[in-house]
Amino acid sequence: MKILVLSERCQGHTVCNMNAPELFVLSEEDGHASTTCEDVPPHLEEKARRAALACPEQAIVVEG
Amino acid sequence: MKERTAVPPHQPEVDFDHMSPQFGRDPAAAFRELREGCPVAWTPHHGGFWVLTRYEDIAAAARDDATFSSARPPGGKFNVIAIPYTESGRNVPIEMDPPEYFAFRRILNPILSPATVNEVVVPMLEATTHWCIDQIIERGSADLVDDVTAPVPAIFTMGWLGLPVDEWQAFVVAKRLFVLPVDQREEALADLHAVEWLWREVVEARAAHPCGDIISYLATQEVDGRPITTDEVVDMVTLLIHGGFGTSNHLMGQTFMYLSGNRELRSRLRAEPELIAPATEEFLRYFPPNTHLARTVTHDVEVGGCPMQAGDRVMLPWYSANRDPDAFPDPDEFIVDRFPNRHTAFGLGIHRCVGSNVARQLFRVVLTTVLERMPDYEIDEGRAIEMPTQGVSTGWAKLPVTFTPGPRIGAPPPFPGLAS
Repeated sequence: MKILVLSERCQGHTVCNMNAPELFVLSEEDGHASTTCEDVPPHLEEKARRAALACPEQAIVVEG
Repeated sequence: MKERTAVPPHQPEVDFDHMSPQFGRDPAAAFRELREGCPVAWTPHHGGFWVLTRYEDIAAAARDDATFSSARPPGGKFNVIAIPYTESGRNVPIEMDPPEYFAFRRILNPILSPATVNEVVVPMLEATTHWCIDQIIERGSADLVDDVTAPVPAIFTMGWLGLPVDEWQAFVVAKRLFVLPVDQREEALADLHAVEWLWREVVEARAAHPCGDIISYLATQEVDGRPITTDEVVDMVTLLIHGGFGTSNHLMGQTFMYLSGNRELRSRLRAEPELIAPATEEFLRYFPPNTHLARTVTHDVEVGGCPMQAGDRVMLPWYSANRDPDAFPDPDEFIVDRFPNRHTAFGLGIHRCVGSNVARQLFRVVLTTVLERMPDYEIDEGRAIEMPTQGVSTGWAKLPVTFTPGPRIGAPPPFPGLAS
């Protein structure tokens, strides 16, 4: 499974980090999210899916 | 001479007035009726405006700043981001569009980022909350609005900015302007002008002699390579005050009232701390403290089959988006661990509430502290008083409360200027 934050859509709501802190870190500047890894370890796949579902801006793409 | 072409009518027209007592009695029902019958509609009230009601339409408009402008016209006296127009200083940067918007938003981001809030703001919130509760805890009775939900955000915001915190009541009183019926605003407007003058004086003082507070930080910034002006700093302080005070106050009042009548949920929130985070999101969805924000159409556009014209005003009711059954199953049910919960309480798009990280932490600190120190609080619902209107923000003006008295913890004043 791969995850990607669409930076032009992310507005720094921080909800992904609340749901999956292992996979999403927040900028110290503006709180916008980036991924800690491109390939999601199998035990975090469910969390990745939840983070993508929870994003108010629908800025997270999950593939695979 | 030929007649000018008639302006196409604003259709369909409905009789929707969010400042009316009828709306105030049941905002969810008012939006439901519109959403089901006429999801995009024109109402003649308050100068006339379009009201959107579906999550999808509201989200699309919030993300289309080129069509739906937030900018106050140059020299404009009125706040354009809510309906009705209210005379007030400009809120920078929310009353701006890109690219100007980003030049100012960039200044606010680092002082309100999750990391800074956790490190700098949360200790201030904890100190302020404990100090406020110390003032009432031995009495066994209080008013949850006057003694907790109003002072905590007011004292924190003013102390953090560097304003004289002993004036917090004057600021809270002045801010009632925004929830008064439009024909009853004269006195409150004078009160607002008085406190606006006070923060302008502080800005001018800090610009001359910066110290370590937030106003000093703002006053020493650059915008597009030139020093920020005093007026621009005043306008940013305006945003932080208007954003920081009423919103959190109203959300917490609604929450405490809801929990007063729901002891089971109150017990669960105490016993299961991991519920606080999802519960916070659900309280935000259920009681969004800004019922709406507003935009102005920049060019002719069609939304939901309705032709909008340049200059038309448009209401984006977050309250309605949050109750849209297409986005939230059983939208009128409060589901403490609702998932997913893509509520719009902080707005969507580039204008996402710049204070959202503070708001969530403030809510968490106050909620958990009240549940810990006043666990059996009971609101006298018969004597509770709603705010005079519910159309800009829903909430309570008075929440008389009783509880088993407890000991003071001797919390020191969170900021200089408050009695110990």
